[in-house]
Amino acid sequence: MTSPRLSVRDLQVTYTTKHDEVNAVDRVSFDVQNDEIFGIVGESGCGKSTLASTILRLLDDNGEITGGEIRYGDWDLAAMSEGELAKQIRGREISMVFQDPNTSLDPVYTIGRQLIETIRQHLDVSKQEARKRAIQSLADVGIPSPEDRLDDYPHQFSGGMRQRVVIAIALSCDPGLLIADEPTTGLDVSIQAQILDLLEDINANHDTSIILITHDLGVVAEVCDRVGVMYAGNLVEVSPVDVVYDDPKHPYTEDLLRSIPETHEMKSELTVIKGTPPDLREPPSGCRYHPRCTKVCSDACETGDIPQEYREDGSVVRCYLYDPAENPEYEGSAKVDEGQRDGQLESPERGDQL
Amino acid sequence: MEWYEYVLKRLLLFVPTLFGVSVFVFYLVHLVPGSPAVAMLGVRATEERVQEIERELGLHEPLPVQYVDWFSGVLVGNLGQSYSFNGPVAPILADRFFVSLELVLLTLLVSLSVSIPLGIVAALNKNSAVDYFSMGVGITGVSVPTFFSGVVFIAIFAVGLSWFPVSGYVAPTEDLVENLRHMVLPTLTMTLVAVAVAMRMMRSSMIETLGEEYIRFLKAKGLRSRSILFGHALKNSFIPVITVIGLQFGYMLSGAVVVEQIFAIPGLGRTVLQAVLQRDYPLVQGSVLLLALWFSAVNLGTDLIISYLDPRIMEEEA
Repeated sequence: MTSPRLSVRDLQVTYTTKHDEVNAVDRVSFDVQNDEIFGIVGESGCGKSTLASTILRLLDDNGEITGGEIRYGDWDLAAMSEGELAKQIRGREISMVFQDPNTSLDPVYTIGRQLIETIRQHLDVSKQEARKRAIQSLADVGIPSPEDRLDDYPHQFSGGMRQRVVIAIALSCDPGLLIADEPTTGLDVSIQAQILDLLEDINANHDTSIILITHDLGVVAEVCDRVGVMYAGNLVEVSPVDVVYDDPKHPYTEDLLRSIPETHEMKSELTVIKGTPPDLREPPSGCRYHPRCTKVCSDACETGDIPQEYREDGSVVRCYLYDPAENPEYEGSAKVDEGQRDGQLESPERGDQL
Repeated sequence: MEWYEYVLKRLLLFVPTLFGVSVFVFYLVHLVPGSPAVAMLGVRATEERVQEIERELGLHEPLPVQYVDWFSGVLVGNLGQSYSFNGPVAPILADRFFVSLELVLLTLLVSLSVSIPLGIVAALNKNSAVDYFSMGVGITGVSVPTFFSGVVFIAIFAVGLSWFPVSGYVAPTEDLVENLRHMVLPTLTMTLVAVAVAMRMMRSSMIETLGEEYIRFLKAKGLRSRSILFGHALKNSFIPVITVIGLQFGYMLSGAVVVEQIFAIPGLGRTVLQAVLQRDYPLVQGSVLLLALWFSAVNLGTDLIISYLDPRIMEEEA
């Protein structure tokens, strides 16, 4: 097996405020394989955007990496100098697309200038050559008559087109990894689908892996190969996308799926997860989900320091349910696991409807 | 809309502005109580003598007639005769204008070369010693009135150290070095006030710009901090500062009156003051018109510069 494109191990990120330290990303590990679309889902404030920014080391001034490593090729991004990052990684090997295309582009320069400056920053090409490449990049993301539009300003594009321009800039130097942080959240629903199609298209036709950060499980189902679920700074489950929907392993993933409103059912109330996400200044001891979890199986849930991750059907889960030492009912086979869950599900065929 | 179209449109709009300004100025001046005839003759003058003089000056005519008389002259560059200077207004104003303009330009040059870099450094080192220091300098500068700081400067640098002359003015055409030597202290006095505003504006605008998402995107593209700062942040953050500088620039010409008075500089502000005290209508009208035109022209210039730098402005107007 070839080595993964990106490999994050035990990553910890801490924000320091005047009075507190906030552990926004806590011992997160995952891999992104070559050519896959890896989704990261979670509620707002769960640390998914922090995680995305951390990979390119774009944290705010009060945030810092307090442990772990981020491997990309032979580099450890967590330990690289700013200069090296700018030269080797940012925009060259790993690019990023942000949520709001309306604020991602410098309003006082043409998009051509912003494309060409990126290309000339990383590739040793002439101005004419860079211009040609810029036009090609715009054509690649589906901007009509790219040659004429090169000298237009960002405000002359619609929201969807602007996000295409942002993606064109991000892809202009053929990066190996694209991090898209909620790239469709600020767009109309019809435009959202187009941008997701574009991302899939890029993933299929270029040698570019994608990390897609989103709070929208529907988006994940549509485009991702594998998905990581974040809760309160922890990555609680990493599974292939069909496993997440058909057979979620972590109780949080399960509860999250259950809380998606179903359009064909007229329910007077929405299913919600009881309680609120914890204040990360004082996270709960043990598993950070245990105060809201309906499947607490052991004292360790409340006090233990979940050190390892349990593997199950190609999933990686951070939960004592899959630890025979803590959960006597667990026999290490998926069957028991199935039976355990069936009794608690409201609609067993839920996965098919997504 | 192309930029030149925008410029053309704005220039055409300038014509009615000028007309409006002239009407306003004319009536405003005539609202000032007191008659020039009385000012010339003194309070003990007889009623007949006053009326005689008023007839001589054309002040017995109704205001609209007086306005048409005056404005038709203005159109051909004749601003009338000054009562107190006994000569045509236009050349008097031209002389004074260029004296003031020199002072204002020098002040602008010095204050911007201090305030802009200081504002940027303060923004980049938010809440550091440099930031607090520049804030202190700014607040002190703006808090000390010019009539005080001017006198202090004279006491220290002119009387005490004898580096610069106490007051007076030498035309640059006569002796450029002497001219500049005479300008140092007035410029310094005015700069002290001007620096604070532009600096604070530059600082806050730069801080705001650096927090924008596109700055993060530029970083994510692999641009170095230097290219981000000078290639993107500076232009973006400078645009709101230009508006402030424009206002200052426009205002300074008439606002220099105190400084001109302290340093005995024969500038426009000082002339206006004298003209008002003398009820010298033609001179007041001429100089207020000139100041209003100056202000409008500076405003127009500011808008044109901003629209050149920020393409969104034209779109909004269209």
